[in-house]
Amino acid sequence: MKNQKEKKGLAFKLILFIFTSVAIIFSAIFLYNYNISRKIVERNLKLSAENLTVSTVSKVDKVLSSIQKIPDNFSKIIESKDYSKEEMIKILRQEVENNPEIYGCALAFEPYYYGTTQKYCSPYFYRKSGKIEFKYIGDEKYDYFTMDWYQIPKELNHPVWSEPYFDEGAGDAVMSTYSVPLYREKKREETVYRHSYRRCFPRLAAG
Amino acid sequence: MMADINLSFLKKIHWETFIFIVMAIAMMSCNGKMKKESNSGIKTGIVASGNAGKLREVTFLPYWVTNAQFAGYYVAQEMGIYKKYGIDLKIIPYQPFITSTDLIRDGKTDFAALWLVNALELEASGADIVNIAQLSSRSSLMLVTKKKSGIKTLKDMNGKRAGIWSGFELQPKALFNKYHLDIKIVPIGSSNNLFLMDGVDITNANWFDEYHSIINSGYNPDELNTFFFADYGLNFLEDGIYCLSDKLKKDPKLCADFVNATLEGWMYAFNNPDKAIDIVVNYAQKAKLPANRIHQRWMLDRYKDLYIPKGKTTINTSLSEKDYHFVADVLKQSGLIKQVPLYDNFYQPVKR
Repeated sequence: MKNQKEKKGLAFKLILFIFTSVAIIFSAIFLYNYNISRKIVERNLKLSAENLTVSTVSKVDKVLSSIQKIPDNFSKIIESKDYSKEEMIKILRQEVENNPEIYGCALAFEPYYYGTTQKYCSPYFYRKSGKIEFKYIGDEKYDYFTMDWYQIPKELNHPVWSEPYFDEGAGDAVMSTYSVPLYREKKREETVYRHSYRRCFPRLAAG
Repeated sequence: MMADINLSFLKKIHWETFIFIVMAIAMMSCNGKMKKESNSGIKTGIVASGNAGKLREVTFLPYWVTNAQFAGYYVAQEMGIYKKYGIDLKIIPYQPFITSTDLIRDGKTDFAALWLVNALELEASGADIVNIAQLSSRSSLMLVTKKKSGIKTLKDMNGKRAGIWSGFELQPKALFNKYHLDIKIVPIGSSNNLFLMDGVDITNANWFDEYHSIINSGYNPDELNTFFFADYGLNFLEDGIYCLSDKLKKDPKLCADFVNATLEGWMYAFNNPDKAIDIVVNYAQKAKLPANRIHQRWMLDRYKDLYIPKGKTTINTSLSEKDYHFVADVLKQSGLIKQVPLYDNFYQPVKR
């Protein structure tokens, strides 16, 4: 009886020892495997996210690059000759008519470009209900001189895409604007003003 | 053939299990009951002790769009705190191009939130408004530079370009004059993009708003240098509650009730920020405005810092004569006001 009990005690201890050892080894393998797998999955996820980002940026760039060419060319045309205000407005309208991917197009002149009584001057053509509409934008409520689409390309002296925004008071739509600073020499009577370069900003809104 | 089983052990298990289940059910139902009470406790408690009479219709005008800057008002309205004080409040939505100063001058709103600077200009222009509670205890205005620009001190700003909000040049100009700094001011709108794109070296910002937007644009705080106006002797106090003087004379109780309800709303918002943000975001969504929860939470936390002075636990609504004259004198020296309104006429706090 006593021997039986001793044998049972020994068997129990042996089983417990073997089981515990196996459990520890399996746990260690499992943990190691988990860590390695996690690192691999994270690395792959990061790679996928990067590739997806690059791919999406390329797609967006493709659209934006094609639109950028329009104001880039337009600015060259305006700078090439001393067009009158009416002529420039006519060309502006044609830009919108001939380019359906554009929501609207504006020329934004510096303060008092056309006289000391007219602080704002920005003729703007835009699409609405299938038609091309026109208005002048710029007043105390729509002070475009401090708006990103005007100010940033002016201060940085190169074309810039704006962040998307809701253009309340002008286009009245969510849009992003590509603006190109352009320069024209303006003579007044026989005096060439010291700041004779007046800058105008064609503004194209790509909705 | 019959089989008798010794059930004593089984019975013991059953009893223990039974007791456990009963206790668990009891605890769950108590918890549920308590939750129900706590959820409804505030509202029912408020309604129970509320004004049994007719609610007085009152309008309030914030000076900017729906966001956590005005959390106290939205929270007080949503939680029935204004109703507790017998007020049926309508918050007038912010409209672009129509300033709060226009509406309060024309009497189109009963109460408005204004910065002290704007209120002083309005008062000096002839509008008979009074400050019935000064909520903010310090200025939130700051200048921000990038560490990579090398601008570490005010002196380093000499000769640099600063993007300053168009129409809000007073405080920055006062700072630049005080420290004899020659800085080119570039008027900017509400966006930080010119600064982010290195179009200007310095930009102004509110601690609770634009500073956080700059961080969210990809800059870490340790990549920026900040210069709080309050640290350089230009602590212009900001938010206060204002009404026309006539309103206060005709109905001082209404004014007191509005202020007290508002303060209660603010304290609730500070003590229950998650709930407050839920309410603010809900209001913003109704107004079809974007609302980023993280940004709103930052805003609310900063407002707590601005409204509750260090070392205190409640909002101090007093406007000291010293703080008042400090701002008024700068306005007068800048030519923005011709006369400094009398302090006692301007600041008429309600009973709390």
